[in-house]
Amino acid sequence: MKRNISFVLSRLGGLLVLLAGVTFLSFSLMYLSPGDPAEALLRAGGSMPSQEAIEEKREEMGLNRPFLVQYGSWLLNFAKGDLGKSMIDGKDVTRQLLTALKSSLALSVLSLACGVAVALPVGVYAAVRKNSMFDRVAGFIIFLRMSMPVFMVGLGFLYLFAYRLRLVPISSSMAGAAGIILPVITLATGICAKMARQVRSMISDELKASYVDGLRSRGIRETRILFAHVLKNAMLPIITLIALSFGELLGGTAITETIFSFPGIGKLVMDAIHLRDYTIVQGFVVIVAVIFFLVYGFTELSYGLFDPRVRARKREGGKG
Amino acid sequence: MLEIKNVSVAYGDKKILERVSFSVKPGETVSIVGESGSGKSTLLKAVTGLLAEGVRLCEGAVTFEGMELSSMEPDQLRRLRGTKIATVYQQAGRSMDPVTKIGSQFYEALRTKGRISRSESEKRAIACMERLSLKEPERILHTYPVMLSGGTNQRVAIALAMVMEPSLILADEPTSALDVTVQVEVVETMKKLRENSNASILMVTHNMGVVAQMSDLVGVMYKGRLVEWGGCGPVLSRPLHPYTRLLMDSVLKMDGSVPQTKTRYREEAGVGCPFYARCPAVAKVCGIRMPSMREAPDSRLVMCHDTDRG
Repeated sequence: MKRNISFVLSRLGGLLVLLAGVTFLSFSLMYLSPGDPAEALLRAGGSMPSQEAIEEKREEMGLNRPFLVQYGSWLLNFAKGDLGKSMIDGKDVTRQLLTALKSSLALSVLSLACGVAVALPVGVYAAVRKNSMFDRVAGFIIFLRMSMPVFMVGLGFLYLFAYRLRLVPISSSMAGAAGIILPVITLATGICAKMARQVRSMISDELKASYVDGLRSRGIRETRILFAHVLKNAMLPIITLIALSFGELLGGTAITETIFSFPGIGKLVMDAIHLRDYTIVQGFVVIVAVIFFLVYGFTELSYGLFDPRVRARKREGGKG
Repeated sequence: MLEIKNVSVAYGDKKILERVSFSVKPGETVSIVGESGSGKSTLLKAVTGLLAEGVRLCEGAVTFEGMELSSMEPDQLRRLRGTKIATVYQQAGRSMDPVTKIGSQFYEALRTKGRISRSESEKRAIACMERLSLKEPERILHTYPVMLSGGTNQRVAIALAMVMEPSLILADEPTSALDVTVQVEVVETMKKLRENSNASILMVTHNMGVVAQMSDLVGVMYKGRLVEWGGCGPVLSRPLHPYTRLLMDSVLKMDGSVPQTKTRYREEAGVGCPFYARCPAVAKVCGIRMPSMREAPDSRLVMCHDTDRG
């Protein structure tokens, strides 16, 4: 228990270092990017601003202060939960990001849950019945899905289900709760294909482990060997796999969200990049970094819970 | 009790075991010796029906307590493994699930035999480990295999095989993966196992020390064939087959390596004695004709043309 607390503390220290780095970089993003935000903001109205107006705006936005002072005040606001105002429409960035994040989290969690729910049993069964008809057919479908890029799958689903069959509206943002269905299917099939393949190879390696021979020599049933021992041993890499996929989803839903005009954080930031709305991009980078960190931190923390080997190693002095 | 009759095992077209026959009587300890690749481990797997993928029994029969194992249903064979035939592996520590507590593994194994309570299972596990002189058996039950040393793990695994009260224990090189000092411990444990249970033991090893200390009978294998068979004393002290002599010489050299002999090539492949290429006492007939198993003094069996000539 004491070890766990010190582990959490050391990780929190790490989080601070990471945040310092990420915020600094994402703030520099605005500073280093070409173009003047003040000018961009004024031009967004459609008119040609005068030099005086731009100067005035720069003063108002605090852009004439030294870099570190600007960074400091931005950081202070960030700590208070205020990520600033959009450079395009002046709306509160924090609220915009959080609303979009909520949709994206729903999309990610749902896709991950669906993907894992199918991938685990398929992967395990394919490993147990290696080279069977099931294994071959599953392998083929997985290969098919994995060789298709996400925009192709997304557009394909759109064409089929929204345009041809008219089962769901084309734009997710118009569809309410049903709008999440197609993006979830698109993402979940991708995760499922990748994960089923990895689970299959993990389990089939695990089945070759010598403890499996040992259990067999003691007359333990095959089903019990699989569920009580092999899966338990494979738990660690499977959890890692799920966590990695989750991280990947958070950063990688942008294309899917854009295709389906799903109002998530990926689409928000894609639009922001097009419009050079740096405040949103900054906020996005920081929020995603924190989420990544939390997901991986919790994953690592859970290792000890599932695997005595990790606990034993920690006891030996935390090496390896 | 265990009878192996004309057993051949093949991987694809390649024969790993070739017409091996011998039997183990109740309470006997039989050791099979031979160098790596002589097929001795495969022999044990053929008995338990746990041959590796692609390896199959292609000839002969394994009979255990009157039942023919080679034609048994997999589930029946599995039940037999849990109750009557136990195996101790070369790296027995690794034959335990690393992420399950040892106590649970005892409980799980005992449950395949019949209903048993958790506390009863602990009692029997502790009794078993005490008989094998393992220290702190209660503590061991509540730890994971990864937290114990290699030697302790090996001895726990022997206890795990013994707790089932099997009538046959198969031991696959129970000492060879261990340090010399730990080997002594494990050999002591094996000897205690022999004294404390009525089980027959069939052990394959290349550790002649272990063989001498605990076997009743010894079989010598070379290239998948049994080349010499007989009582432990006679075989070790007066080996008849040239290969056995070579093995015994290697023990005297203490480093365990089999002395290299000149390798000669046979004119026709597939005929003649399998040991032809390395035999120090080769005769003309050896390259032409396969020797058959012959009886020799002290009720021994030897597969060599030389035995006839004296």
